[in-house]
Amino acid sequence: MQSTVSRYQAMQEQYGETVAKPSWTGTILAEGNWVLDDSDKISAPLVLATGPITEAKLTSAWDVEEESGSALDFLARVKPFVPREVFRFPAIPQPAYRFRVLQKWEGTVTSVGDNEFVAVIRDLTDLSFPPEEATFSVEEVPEPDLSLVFPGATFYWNVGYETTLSRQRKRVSVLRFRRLPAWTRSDIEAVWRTAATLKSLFGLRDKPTESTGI
Amino acid sequence: MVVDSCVETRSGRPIALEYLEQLGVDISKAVKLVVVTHWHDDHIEGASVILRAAQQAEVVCSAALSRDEFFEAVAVAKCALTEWPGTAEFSAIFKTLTERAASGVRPKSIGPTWAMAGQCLLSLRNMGRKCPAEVHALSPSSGSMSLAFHEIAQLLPEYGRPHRRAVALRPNQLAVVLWVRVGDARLLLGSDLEGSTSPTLGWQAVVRSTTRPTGRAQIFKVPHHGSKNADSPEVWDQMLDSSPHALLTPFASGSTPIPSETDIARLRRHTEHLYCTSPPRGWSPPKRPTAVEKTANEVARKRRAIVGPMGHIRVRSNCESPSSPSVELFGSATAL
Repeated sequence: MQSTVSRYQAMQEQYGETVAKPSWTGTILAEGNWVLDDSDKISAPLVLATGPITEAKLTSAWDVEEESGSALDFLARVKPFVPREVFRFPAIPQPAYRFRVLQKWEGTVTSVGDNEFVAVIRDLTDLSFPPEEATFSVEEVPEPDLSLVFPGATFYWNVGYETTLSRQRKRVSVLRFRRLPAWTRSDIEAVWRTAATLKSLFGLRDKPTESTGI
Repeated sequence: MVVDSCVETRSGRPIALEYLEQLGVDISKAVKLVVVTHWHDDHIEGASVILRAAQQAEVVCSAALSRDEFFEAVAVAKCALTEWPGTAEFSAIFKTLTERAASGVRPKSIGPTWAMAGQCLLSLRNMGRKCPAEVHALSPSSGSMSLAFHEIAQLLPEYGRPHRRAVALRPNQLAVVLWVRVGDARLLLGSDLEGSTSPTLGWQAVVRSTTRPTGRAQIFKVPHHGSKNADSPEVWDQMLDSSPHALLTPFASGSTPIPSETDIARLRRHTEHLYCTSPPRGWSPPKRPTAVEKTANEVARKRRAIVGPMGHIRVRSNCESPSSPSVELFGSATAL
């Protein structure tokens, strides 16, 4: 779809037309079928993305044999194509899912029991607060994260207000475990090299047990 | 001598450093030993800062850590994608030691002293001192050295396994217990050493040792926050005066904060002089907006702060007649 937009620009250069706005140089996210109206004008709706999504409507007056078809097909076949009118539809506020965070913690699992786990949690919202220990039911953990619950695992715990698509507001808690990469052979070899350096500095000393004589 | 370290939450500085500065002690010359009894976060935080200030101090670590595996654990702190506070502090200590060597401060050796049972760590007998002073390590026992491999190996990265943080393992058999003698005053500093059914491990090994210094201590730093696992009746019977001054620190992390009421009752059967650096029940979490509190209480079954206002117990004793030391309590410290 990106190439279609580029060709479109090239035609502008060829015919010296500057009707299309710069914001048109983007990715076509969706297209509709072009239609021939009663006055032999063609509309080819496209939805473009250049940052925020822009909806635009192209119209032109070249003759075509078909009475309808895809907008991209229209752009490819009709030469020369110069849009005569460009409409920018007003943005319609879309209901959106929102999550407003009230409180964030970062946790480290310290032990895991049958149906619960214990973690030390650190306040990321107010760093001056002391660490806390909390016990959670494993039911609070999303199913895809259950395999990540082991001692030493880290997670984020967010509490906030969720605004649903139907604009309802709910107070929610979200536990999300970090998916840290696995140790690779090269990682482990780096650990060994660092350890060997440290050991060569400190590990060979065998301190006598007698007084320091200070 | 500074044994272990923790950090004052407001200033972020090691408490021992602030205290010595407050007393007007020249830390750069006066501190001879910085002992890191084990690597757990609640015993080591800020130790590298103390060491930088105590320029003439030796560093003492548990000999159980002088293994390849522990060096790898320290190296992991440099390479891991997660924090490893305890071993990262060791990494900072090693860095300080290396820098010292480079500047020629300690030309003989740059490594830490690896302490194990039966070892004299410090002996001050001359230089016009009124009372001789000695510091001996009573642990780790030789029997616990193989356990070190087991504990530390569990921290090490495994190929194909995800990065994770280091979590302290129990029971602790690797900590350095110290016997301090200044004149006739004797202290037993129990660190976090726990008991064992084996005579070669933990407090069993300490009590049965034939090489430990003789005598009974008047002051006892109760091991492992007064937990039952760390309590040995033989220590009270054979190594301590009757009703010694017993000092402990609480630990709010874990399924049950320690010391529990049962622990306190048990300890009080051994001594009338029992003190704790802060109330032993842990602390309530800080207050947050109502919506947060409601949700947090619904989701977390239990929640409590594991660090609270710090207290301080000061015990001063006359080294020639140590039978009745004076005790002062500061901050949230309390008599139990």
